[in-house]
Amino acid sequence: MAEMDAFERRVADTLLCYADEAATTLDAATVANRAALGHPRRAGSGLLPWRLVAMPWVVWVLLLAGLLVALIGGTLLVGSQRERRLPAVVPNLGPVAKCPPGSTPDKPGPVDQARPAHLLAWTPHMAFDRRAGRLVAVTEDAYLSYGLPPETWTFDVCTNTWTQMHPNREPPGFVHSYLVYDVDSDVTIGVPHRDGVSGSVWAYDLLANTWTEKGTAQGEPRFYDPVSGLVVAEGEDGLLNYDVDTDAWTPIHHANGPGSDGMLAYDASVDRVVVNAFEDPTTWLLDIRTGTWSRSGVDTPVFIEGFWWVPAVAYDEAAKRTVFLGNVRWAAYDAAADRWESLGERSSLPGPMVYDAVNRRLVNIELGGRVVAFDLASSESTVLFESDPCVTARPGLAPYRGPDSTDADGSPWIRAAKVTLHGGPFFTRVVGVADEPWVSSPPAAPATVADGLFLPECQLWTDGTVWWEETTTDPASRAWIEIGLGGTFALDAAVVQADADDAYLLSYRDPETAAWHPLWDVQPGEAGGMATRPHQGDASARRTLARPVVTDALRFEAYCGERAAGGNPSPPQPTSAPACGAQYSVSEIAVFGVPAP
Amino acid sequence: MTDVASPAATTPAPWVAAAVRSAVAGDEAAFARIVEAYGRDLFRVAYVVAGDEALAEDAAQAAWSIAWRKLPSLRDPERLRPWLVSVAANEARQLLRSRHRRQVAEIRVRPPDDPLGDPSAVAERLDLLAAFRHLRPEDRSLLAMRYVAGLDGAEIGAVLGMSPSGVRGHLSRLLERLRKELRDG
Repeated sequence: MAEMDAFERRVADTLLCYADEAATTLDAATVANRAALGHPRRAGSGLLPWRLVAMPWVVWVLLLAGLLVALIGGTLLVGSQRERRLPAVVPNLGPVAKCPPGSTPDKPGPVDQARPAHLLAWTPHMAFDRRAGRLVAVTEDAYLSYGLPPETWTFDVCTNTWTQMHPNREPPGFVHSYLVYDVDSDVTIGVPHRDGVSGSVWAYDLLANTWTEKGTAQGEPRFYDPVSGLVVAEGEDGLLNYDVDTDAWTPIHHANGPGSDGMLAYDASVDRVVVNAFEDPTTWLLDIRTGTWSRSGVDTPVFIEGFWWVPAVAYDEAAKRTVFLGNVRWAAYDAAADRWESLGERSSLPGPMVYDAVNRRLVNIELGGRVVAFDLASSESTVLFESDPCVTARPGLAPYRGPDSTDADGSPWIRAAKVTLHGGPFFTRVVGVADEPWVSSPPAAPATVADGLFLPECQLWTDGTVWWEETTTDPASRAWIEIGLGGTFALDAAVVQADADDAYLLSYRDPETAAWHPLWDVQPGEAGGMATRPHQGDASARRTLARPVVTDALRFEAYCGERAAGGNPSPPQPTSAPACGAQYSVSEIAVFGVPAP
Repeated sequence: MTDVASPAATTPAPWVAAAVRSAVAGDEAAFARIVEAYGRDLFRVAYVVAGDEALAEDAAQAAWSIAWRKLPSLRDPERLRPWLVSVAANEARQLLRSRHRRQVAEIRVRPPDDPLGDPSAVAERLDLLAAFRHLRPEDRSLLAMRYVAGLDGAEIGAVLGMSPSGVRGHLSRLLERLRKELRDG
């Protein structure tokens, strides 16, 4: 285990001190009594085995006879009952686009197409615009210092292609939010939700490609109600109707239902809201016309392990099932028959899921960005877009060469004037020439790291890169790379391709004081080999700086290697020794900006 | 990731397994002994997540009610403390979120007890707590479990359904976010 660095220690000490400030008097007996009163255990623990054995044989015979009668009677009773049937209302769910003739919706989209830059780290929030036949996806806000603003994208389910929409403006703060397509008004509605606080309602008109900010949200949109033609949201005191045209909220009066949070979906086949309650997993149906609840009589599967996550949910119109997708299993609920159907176990985190009304199947975006369709009728999965960074790098956007290469704000790539390697030694491996990196690799050419050439994603960390080795116990082994920019520039973005399982620090020099300051803490990636950051497989993504920095030189150094060994999560200052030892490798460091005035 | 000194060792005392068994069988006194041992931990974590003593007390009591009800499903008594801490953090998070729907709750920061303390250190601490307040409640939960309860990546991962490396990665990004908030703030 690496030592805690100064900043992490400071966080730990501060939180411990803060926790110490809290004053409480703990009366354990009273707390225990209150807890026990709320859920009394049954007196005794039933018949003990030795008591059963000690029973006279007459009692055994009577007991078995009674069980037999109960079994036969129960079978007859259950068999005579009709299957539960709820009124089949089946409201009109709205017009649906059709794929153009010749479309191949089952064929995966191009692997090298542009796609949301956040996909590898965060799943987007999404809804299905059935008129347009596209998923509308909004990426998570620029959270956790990735420096990427939220973006609006659509995914065409007829061609399986992503398109960045570049609307008039982007809604801020979509974190843990839901999007709902309002069929009646033909807009997608969402409420940015950040720091635990809901903000305004935002409505996206795909046809006009505009986001419109509405009034303050009183709840979070959950589903579209085709009977009322309004979106239904969940507020503090229950469900509400939201009319986007008038920006008005109307409470939906209903009795108390499940006592804990749950996931909601509207089942059009029975005109009921299906609710899966998290705690003590139960399934409930709510009739929003009468406000009455009914509880399912069958056991509800557990979808989620750990409280961090919530299952994804979508109503499948074709199969007339509500599908819940968790991190341990997924299953479909048939509300008409009050029956769960297992769809299998899972071991990955649930990404968002919507119903694709065009192809009549569910679509799920997995964490990592893979888009998968699932047809409940045939139980067939179809990969619509493969996002593995090792196979879907965007070669069309690299290498960066010349003035055509710019960042999102249009700042050009700054061509390095001089690259110097300090410490080391540094190596590069030439395939077929030096097959054993520690024995016969030739010295690296410094300019490799700033030549505008990005290697194929996941390429072996020794091949064509600049690599070196450091150890924590030997400060003399410290190594770093300096890049002279040949002038003073105002930098506003950067992108780096380096070994996936290491962390690095990119620093800049203040031209006036010659002091070095951290610019970017380059965190480990997810796949092996060379990984482009901030987003693997997407060399077009930029690490946008909060504000431009003026500099004339950069420094690149490793501070922690081999994530699997338990990395130190915080970088040292540039002057300190590396916190842990490993082999490090970099193939490209690109920065963007304009000459400083 | 580094181990943080924890008020309670990660390996539970021998009496814990017996107390859990007795509590499962309905022994309220045994349950009270568990409350006595871990009650402070739960309250502290809830307080750091919620930033409010009354809310933390509500969260802790709710956590104990859940613990009593679900104790029979606890398969491994060695995980009792991480499990209890995670339940308390979750209850604090849920209570905070439900209150946030009505109003924005601020984490209260008391002035230091020692008026002669280093003013710059105090200011740094207040800045850090202000940045901490800007994190999502679930992120505050994670940091509280790690640094206040002293749980390690494996313990947190086990109760959150995450891999230890996933926990480490998440913590690392949270620390970076705090660092950035302080730098840019």
